[in-house]
Amino acid sequence: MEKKIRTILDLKLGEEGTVYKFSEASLACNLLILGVLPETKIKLVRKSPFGNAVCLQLGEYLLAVRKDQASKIIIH
Amino acid sequence: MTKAGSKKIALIGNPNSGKSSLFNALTGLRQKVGNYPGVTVDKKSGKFDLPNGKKVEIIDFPGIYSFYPNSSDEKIVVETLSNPQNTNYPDAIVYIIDSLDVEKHFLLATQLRELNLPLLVVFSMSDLAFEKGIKIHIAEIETYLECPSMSISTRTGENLELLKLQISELIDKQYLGKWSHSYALSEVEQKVSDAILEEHNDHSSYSALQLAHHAHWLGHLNKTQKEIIFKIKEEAGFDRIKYQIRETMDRYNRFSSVVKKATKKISEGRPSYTERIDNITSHRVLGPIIFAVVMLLVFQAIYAWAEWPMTLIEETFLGMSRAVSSVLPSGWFTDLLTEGVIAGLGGIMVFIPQIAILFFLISILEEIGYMSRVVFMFDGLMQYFGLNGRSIVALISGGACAIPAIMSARTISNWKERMITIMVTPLISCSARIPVYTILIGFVVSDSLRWGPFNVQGLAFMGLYLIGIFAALFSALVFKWILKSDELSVLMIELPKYKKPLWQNVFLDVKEKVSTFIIEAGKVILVMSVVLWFLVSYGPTGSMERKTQEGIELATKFGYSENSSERADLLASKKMEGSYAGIIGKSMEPAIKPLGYDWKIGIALLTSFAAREVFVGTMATIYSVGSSNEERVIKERMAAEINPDTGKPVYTLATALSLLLFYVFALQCMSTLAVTKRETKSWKWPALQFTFMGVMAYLSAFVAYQMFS
Repeated sequence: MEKKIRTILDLKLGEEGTVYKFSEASLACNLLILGVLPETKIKLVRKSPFGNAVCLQLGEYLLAVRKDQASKIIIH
Repeated sequence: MTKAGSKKIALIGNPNSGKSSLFNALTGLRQKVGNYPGVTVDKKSGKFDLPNGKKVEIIDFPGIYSFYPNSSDEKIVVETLSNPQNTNYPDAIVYIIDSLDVEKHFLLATQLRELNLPLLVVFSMSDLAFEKGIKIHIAEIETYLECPSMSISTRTGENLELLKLQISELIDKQYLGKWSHSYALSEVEQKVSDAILEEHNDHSSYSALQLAHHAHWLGHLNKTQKEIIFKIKEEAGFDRIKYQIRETMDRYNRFSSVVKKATKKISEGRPSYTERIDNITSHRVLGPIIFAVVMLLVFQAIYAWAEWPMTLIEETFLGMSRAVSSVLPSGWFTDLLTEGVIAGLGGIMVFIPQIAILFFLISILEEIGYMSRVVFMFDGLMQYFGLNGRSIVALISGGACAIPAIMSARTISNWKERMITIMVTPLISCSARIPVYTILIGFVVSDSLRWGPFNVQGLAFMGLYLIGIFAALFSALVFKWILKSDELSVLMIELPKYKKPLWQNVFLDVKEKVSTFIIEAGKVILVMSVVLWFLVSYGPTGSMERKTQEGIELATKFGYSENSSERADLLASKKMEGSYAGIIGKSMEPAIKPLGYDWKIGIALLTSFAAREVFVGTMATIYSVGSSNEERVIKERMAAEINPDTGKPVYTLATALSLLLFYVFALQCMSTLAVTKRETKSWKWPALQFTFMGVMAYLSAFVAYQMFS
């Protein structure tokens, strides 16, 4: 039985997840450049006031990403 | 490669790496803004002296994360470094890494190491790293990258002199030699790279591979060269995205462990305030409220601080004009100088206080790291209107002047979002509209009227700003429907840690924005004010003489004495009626009559195309109060103006409202059109911009006049 795929957006606020892979190659390029790599630990820090973007924490650094892009980050 | 003149250093780094701070610290005031050939990206460069007395030129390239760029700003770095024939191709590279975030910044370092260029890797913000208890083992970095490295702090000035020494050694060095940890090309990549190297033998094998990745947009490749590369790629079965991912992953895999070993946390250090501040400033409810309050304070500050320097500038130019006319013999040349050139210069300078104050405050917000939070918070709202979170910076800047605001849209990588931002930014009320609003608002609401604790005029003022903002958002929505693009809209923005502003950065940023305004708007305003001077001072043969004669008769009838100012003012007004400007104004009358305007207002509308605030000066001349520069006098005279057809005052609530709305919407600024043309590289966009804003202006003025008259 295959497990249900979880993305960054399935994390609760303040919860940490580990990146498994990306579901879209061209987006993966952009994320890799910004240090979002497989096996990186990512914390979901907050959601934007209008709800369309999330703020992620990778180690010491904060990255704001739109939800439709964050949904392409699959976690373990 | 040796080149004539001083050697060039490329300063490269990620956004927020401390790159610009270092650039400012090295060059100070010896920096200038130019252009890269063929593109509109600003080129910031400066000179400084090396310890051996030689001068070097340093170019502050736009911030970039890797050799795979997104926005036009970032592309210029790859464009330059992938073409050894480029005039900006450097002799050496200084690469800046944020000491607090080495791993993310390291990717580009490994890419730069594979160019045929000497490289120095500099770790910035060493003071902050120290506070955080982070220690970077430079020796380990040097061993891995096989290039010199060091750490600095622009905040404390630590190691700045040593850096200059390192740079002087660097530029005397030739190529560092092949890197032993370089990216291992796959079979396909190797094939592509080898084939391209046959054509472009001045490249390293990695930068030849870069040509394969970017051939479709690189400007220095001609059509034949591109086709050859496309063919090579096709034959080898080269998939751009696949190999970009492969390369990036491979690099991370190689350097991660090295970087982790070289950057050690030796003590706990001070806790970060960023998270605690963000819990308030980026809060889902509090965040937008705080932003609104900040903006209110910012614009309040502009009014509070700009008034006296503006008065000072106005008076200085008035004095200069008087001094010139008293020294020089009267004649057309003196008039050209005083009424054309000096008045034009004054018209430019008077806006500097407001523009400088707004950009000073925006720059502080940017320096401390707040602006990227605003981008994050409002991206959702902006996206709804077809804009990008980054558009908000342009829209706020539009409150000072649309020109630097439109230029700031370059950071938006999505074409459609960038175009919409450029198109709607001029709808935000800029500083040139304020004098017009000030004089007209008195006809709409009385000065003494109060509503609770508020002055109603102040509220009306705010209303005009809000109309502009809503118009911008509404137009954006329309453009969102019209413009088609299947380009993916992405927002990925780093939220830097909050930090104290570096005043040198703020100061130099303001200086740059203000000089952009002076140069871009200045040249147009100056030329226009000379043209206007001509249109107002000259007319068809006999026309002005006839009108002057009429004026003399009228003056005699009214019993004005020979040397009275009333007589002089009346003659000036009559003269203008007979001038080209007067004739144009009269011929415009049928078109503007439905808006409630007469030919005199027509002239003012026409002259406003130089710059909107010229409206006030033109009104003063037309209403024969040319000798008085006081707003109050102009206002009184305007209030007394009677429409000869109806016998009623010209400036009723309806006319004033109609004019106000016209000025809110109309794009009466040649400089904005010129900048839009430059940024979009086509006349189509400024033409469209002028038309849609003009239609909005005309329609709203028409409706307002018809409803209230």
